[in-house]
Amino acid sequence: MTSTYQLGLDYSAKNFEMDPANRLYWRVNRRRLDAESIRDSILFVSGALDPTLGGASLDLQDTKNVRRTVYSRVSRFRLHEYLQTFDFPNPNITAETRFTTNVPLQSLFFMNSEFVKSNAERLVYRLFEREPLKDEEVEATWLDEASTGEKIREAYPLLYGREASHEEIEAGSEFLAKGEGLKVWTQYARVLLSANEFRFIN
Amino acid sequence: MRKPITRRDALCRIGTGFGMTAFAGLASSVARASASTRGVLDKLHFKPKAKRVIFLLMNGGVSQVDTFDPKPKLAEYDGKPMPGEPIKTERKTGVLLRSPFTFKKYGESGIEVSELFPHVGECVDDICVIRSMVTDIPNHEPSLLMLNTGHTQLGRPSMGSWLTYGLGFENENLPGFVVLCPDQPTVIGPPLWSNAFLPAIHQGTFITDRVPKKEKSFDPGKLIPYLESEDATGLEQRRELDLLEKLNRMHMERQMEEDSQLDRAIQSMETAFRMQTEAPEVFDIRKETEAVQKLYGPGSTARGCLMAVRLIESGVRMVQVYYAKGDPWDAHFDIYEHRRNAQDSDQPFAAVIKDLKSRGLFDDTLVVCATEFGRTPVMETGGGMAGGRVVNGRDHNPFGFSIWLAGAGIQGGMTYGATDDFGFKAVENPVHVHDLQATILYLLGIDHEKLTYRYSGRDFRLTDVHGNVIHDILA
Repeated sequence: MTSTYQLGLDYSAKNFEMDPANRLYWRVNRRRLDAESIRDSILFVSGALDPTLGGASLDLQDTKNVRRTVYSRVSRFRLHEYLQTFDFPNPNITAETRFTTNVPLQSLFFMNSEFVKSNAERLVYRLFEREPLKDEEVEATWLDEASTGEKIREAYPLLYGREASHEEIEAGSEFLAKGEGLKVWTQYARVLLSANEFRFIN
Repeated sequence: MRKPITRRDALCRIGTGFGMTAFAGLASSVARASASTRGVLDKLHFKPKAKRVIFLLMNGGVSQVDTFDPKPKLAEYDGKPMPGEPIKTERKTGVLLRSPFTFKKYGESGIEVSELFPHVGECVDDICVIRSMVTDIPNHEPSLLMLNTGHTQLGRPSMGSWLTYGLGFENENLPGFVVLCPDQPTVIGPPLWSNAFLPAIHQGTFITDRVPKKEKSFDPGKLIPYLESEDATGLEQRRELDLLEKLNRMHMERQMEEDSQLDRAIQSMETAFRMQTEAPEVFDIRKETEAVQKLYGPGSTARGCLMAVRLIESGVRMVQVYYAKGDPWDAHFDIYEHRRNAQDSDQPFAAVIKDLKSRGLFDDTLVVCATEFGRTPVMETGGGMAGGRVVNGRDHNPFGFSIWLAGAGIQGGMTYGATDDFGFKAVENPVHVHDLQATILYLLGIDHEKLTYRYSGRDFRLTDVHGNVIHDILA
């Protein structure tokens, strides 16, 4: 790997002034994760990801499919809406590079999809070291016992690879205090998954 | 002779990731303003006639001699080789093939339209038919790119992106540029409505208006994927979004310089939230009266056209309606295929004109009905997928084809330009696609030479370095 390829995103005022467009690659460009990586990352942090290599491809529609996205069937005729939404290239032609779009449909995916919601819930179970249960009627009394701040502090390294800041813990705690039980924790987890930091990487 | 594009050039120009960094680097206030929904043009260059555009795209290459360009000489010479020098097109061609469709004069202007478009024919006094369109390459991908982005290769912003970039968004709760099609149109797809190096907010929103066979009735909530929330109420969502925005802004602050990708992602959450309520309303064509629905007729194109009118009524700047995925009008083998496509399109297209009038929108909406190139008056022989079995079709023809315009600022009831006796080449007043684009921008109040964006060392514009406004077709 060349040294250029290994560059990070660190800001340098001097370099920025000389080359704001980063045409000479004094650092890496921030990029959004591609469709496969986003789905894989969500599955990975929720703990659902099945890391089995190889084997037959599965359908993305199948909710039981928790394998890496690279193992999903790609229809040339009708591309799956998740793939389409996150700029998977048209499978009928070669693609030299992918377009990276930034549109409301992607936000809608994070806000409303069953996929993100169910993985957000799984993430909560994982943080509290509980096995996910099928039955939603469960009281989840174990939620009240834990320290909110402690769990937020555990979530950040898992999702973003860094410690949570004081403001972030405060913002999270405030949000959680105004809601109840598994529902509000799932919503909080969904917010963490929807954050820019989760899908824009350095 | 066009210089071949190097791989490095292509990469620099295509991925909006690269483009976005270039944008982020520009510290000018112009750049910053365009990241919002306000247009970059504070003052328009001309007095605009149109505020919005409906662009009906019959993708695949519509044959002009079978639709809007009658050629009696073609019938006379049917079965004979075309006199004069042979003109090379995409595939092998043979003798002249007469049009199996009859033409009729319509309206007061007496313009002749073929039996394939009787409803459009009835509106002919509102339409300007350009019979001398010209484009550069006889193939779909480059020609669709030319029609949409002004260049035959990937990597340029689309017309809709330029429009929202220059004029801004009328309604912030809806996308500014919408593309409708039952599936992914043609083999290109996203680059046809891409913002390329313009800010990400100007990208076209692609929506498939297909109704899955399983669904009994049409549900606007299902049109846009993920539009409906299963669990959260509006208030609860609002709470989530407020926290999300807070965290995202904290993240942005840590970056030390502005990043419009991140900013746009924050904004798109907000737009998405508002879209949830506003979009189903606008897309719900069931809300229209039965009379209006009947005006458009059945089918996906009809739905798309009705949706387009509703969308522009709600403030969407430009709506493009493709006929279907692939190249449906691409009648290489059998020109009768045009009949089926026309059956789906004719009534809805005419309905757009009539409906815009009844809603009082006709005078400030520009309607464009175009195709990426025409077809040859000579028949196609051999080659292709049919292996030469069926010989009743026409090959691609970039040298002369027909399109029509209607609405704001357009002189109705006229034809402009002409092709030769057989309808092959434009010989009188040829209109290049760039000229059409310059004219469209002009009608919206924009000087096509002045709406530019500096990228990769030079100023880009929709018409590249070409294009002349065709004043003769303006009212």
